Amino acid sequence: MIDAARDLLDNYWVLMPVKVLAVLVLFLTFPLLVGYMEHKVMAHMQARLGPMEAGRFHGVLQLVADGIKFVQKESIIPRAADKWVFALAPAVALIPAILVFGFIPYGRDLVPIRSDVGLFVTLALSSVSVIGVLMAAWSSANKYSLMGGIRAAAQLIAYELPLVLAAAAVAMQAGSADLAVIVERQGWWGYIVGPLVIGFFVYGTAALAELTRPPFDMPVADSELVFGHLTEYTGLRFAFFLLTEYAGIVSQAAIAATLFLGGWKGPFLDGPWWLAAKVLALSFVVIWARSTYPRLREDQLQTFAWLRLVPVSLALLLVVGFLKVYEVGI
Amino acid sequence: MDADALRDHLVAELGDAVEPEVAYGTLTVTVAQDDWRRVAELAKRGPDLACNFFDFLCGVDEEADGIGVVLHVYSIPHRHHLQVRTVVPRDGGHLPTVSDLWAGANWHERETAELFGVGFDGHPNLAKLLLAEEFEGYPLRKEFALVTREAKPWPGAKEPGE
Amino acid sequence: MATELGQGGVAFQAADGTGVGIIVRDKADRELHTQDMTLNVGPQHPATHGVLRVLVTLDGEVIEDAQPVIGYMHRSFEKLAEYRDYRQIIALVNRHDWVSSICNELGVAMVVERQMDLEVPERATWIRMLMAEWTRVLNHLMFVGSYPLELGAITPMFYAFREREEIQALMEWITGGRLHLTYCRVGGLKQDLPRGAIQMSRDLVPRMRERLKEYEDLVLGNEIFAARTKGIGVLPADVACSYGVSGALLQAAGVPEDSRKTEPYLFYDQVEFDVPTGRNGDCYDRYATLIARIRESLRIIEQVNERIPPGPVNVKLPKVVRAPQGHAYVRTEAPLGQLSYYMVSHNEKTPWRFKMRTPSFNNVSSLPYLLKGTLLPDMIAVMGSMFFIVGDIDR
Repeated sequence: MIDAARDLLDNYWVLMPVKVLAVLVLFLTFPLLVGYMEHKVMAHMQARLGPMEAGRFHGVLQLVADGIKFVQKESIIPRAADKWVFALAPAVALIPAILVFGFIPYGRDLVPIRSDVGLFVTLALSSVSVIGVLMAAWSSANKYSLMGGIRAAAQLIAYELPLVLAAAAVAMQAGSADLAVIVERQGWWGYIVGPLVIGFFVYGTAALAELTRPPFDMPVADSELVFGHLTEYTGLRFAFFLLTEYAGIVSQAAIAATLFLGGWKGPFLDGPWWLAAKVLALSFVVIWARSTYPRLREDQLQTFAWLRLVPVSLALLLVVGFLKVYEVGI
Repeated sequence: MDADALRDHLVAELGDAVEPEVAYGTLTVTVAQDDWRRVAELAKRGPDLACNFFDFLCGVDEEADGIGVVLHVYSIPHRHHLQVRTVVPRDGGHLPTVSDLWAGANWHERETAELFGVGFDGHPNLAKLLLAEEFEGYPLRKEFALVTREAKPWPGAKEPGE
Repeated sequence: MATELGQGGVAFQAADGTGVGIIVRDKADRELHTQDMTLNVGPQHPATHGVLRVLVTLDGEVIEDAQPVIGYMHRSFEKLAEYRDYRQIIALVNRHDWVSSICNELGVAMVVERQMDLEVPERATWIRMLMAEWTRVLNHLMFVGSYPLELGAITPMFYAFREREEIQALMEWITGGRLHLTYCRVGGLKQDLPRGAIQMSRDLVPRMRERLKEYEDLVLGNEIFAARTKGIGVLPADVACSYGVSGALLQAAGVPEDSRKTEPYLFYDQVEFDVPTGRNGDCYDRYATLIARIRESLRIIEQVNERIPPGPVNVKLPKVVRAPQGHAYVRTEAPLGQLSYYMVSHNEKTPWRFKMRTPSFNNVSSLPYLLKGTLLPDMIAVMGSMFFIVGDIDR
């Protein structure tokens, strides 16, 4: 019976749809879980309860209800807007976010797409959404959206550098850019024992900025720019942008866990559940940062990226390279 | 300085130009329209007066006498109040501005100009402040009636002022 | 802050010393043609509390000029006051600063009593002080919560409103209202305190004090909050006095001017409290002064709780209350600043002229001075730190 299943799965044309389905299911469940977690965690940190009605038990079906609400809304495109660009912007932002889920190693042999340059493909995919943001901002024909979009573009480009440099330090340490191999070469405690812990913090901060999450959410500062590049979006398109944000949190958390925390490895019983636990823990920290911090002003944000994070990550690269060449074990 | 000492000081400085009056602890000096600027400058710059804090500037409808304008300033180092009052004619009444002495007078003069119809010479921007641009008339003058029962009378007890 | 370089270029530096940029201006001999953008902030905008509109001329992200446009909430209180008797005017002025209603009413009652030479019973005066200080705490808590919200910190708002709910429960018990209390009357108060109200007031004070520490740790101690507010929107003391800016804004500029101390009314000269002052007059100092003022108010409340004597709370008034011919002036320290009333009476049921000098009117008139040369995100920080209520500006 199991042999029959194995033979079937050896066939590429059977395996591929199974993988696609698995990634899609993951993509549709984990971000919603993190979204629900955000509602509840933020609420309790603010001395209130959060969703309690939808789904009888403590509002578990709140996001499902939100999804249904978004789907049945009218599709409004402003008259002065550039129709095609406006309509395609959510897709350009969302599709790369889904694709990233295909490269993450979920277990010993559970990588949907295995590639020698998996790390750089994931980083490249996560930066395609900048184009989606710019498309949304420009085509909305709205001064507030435009200002939000310009701020977003500047911020996202600035924080790409520390992100990639910190990831490169890990690739150097592991000796490979293949995500599965990077996890293989780590102990269950990951790489955070040693100089790469700095890399973890740099990567985490840069990832927060890439996701435009507080304290880096100046582009969508709702007390200033209404909602930045998303001001004119309603209905399903808006829902896609929100989904991109939560999917981004999950995928960046997963990449960070894979690079620095040992991925699916644990002290006992390795498997995808460890990755899930690490992803949820990191998402909790992201939500915690949102509840706590006011937002950084745009120029403070840029100063932080260029004058603090970039030199630190360059120094980290030097240190890791040095240790690697002289074969000092980490 | 308390109100009486202040009054004596001002009478000594300005003589006949001022008519002082101390009511309920506040000194009010009434001056002629032409002395308005001079007294205001003395209030701000006179070392014993040093009224650097701007409280308000408002108009009071004095009916047959004209429109009264009251300026109230306060001195933070000396802790005394001073009210300067003058009366301008109802039609075409105007005064020199004091917004270069106290920046806060800028908005107060705009408000008095639109509500009472008093001009202020030398004011940088005497546009309407609280009222809509198309508004006609000077609402706080006594001949401008509150519109409620004018437009359409309705039954019931009248308000105390009607 | 912008400084002109040669050949029409301008270097600008953000107020806290970070960020230097060069902007090429719209000059005829330059090849790059730029134009100033006029942005309308409000009247419907999440950052402005209520219907305040600011016409901002922008050069990139630097504000060249900012003109507040007010009057969207003008309800002609001064004209109405000429047609209403004194009890009705008390109900009317509740609506200036609708977050702290007693403090508005107090001035009206005081100016009429002053002109009529009415003696207010001691118990009424002490209770008026108690209510005024609790409403001051209510008002300050509102801004303690909403200012971080404008900068992006969403949590202090909920904590501040949790505190406000507890105080409003006390207010509702005593007066029957949560927002517009109409509790003062000419000659005293509407009714006496219910039994147990003082005890509830006593219990609330230590709870509020302990929660104030949370705000200091969570907000004042936050590096990002400090980076966003230190050195931003500096209002020097002499400019503030010239504009007539008062209250926490003036105290943050370093001037310890507080009507309760310099010209004590009610029984403020019989209780001990300090007037906190800031050093720089920037947004951070204004916020810190607000929290310090709440502390001082709690100190006053503690003392007043123990000193309320038994007795009547109002005097017998004639059937028709008339203020004699003449004019009177009263100034009180409302939570937002100095609130003065100037009343001219011709011995009638209604006043001849009732001037209401509200604090936010003068505070907001200093916005053009403060906003010139700042960056757009700093505009939100500065406007929020003005602590104004639009009803107070427009009356």
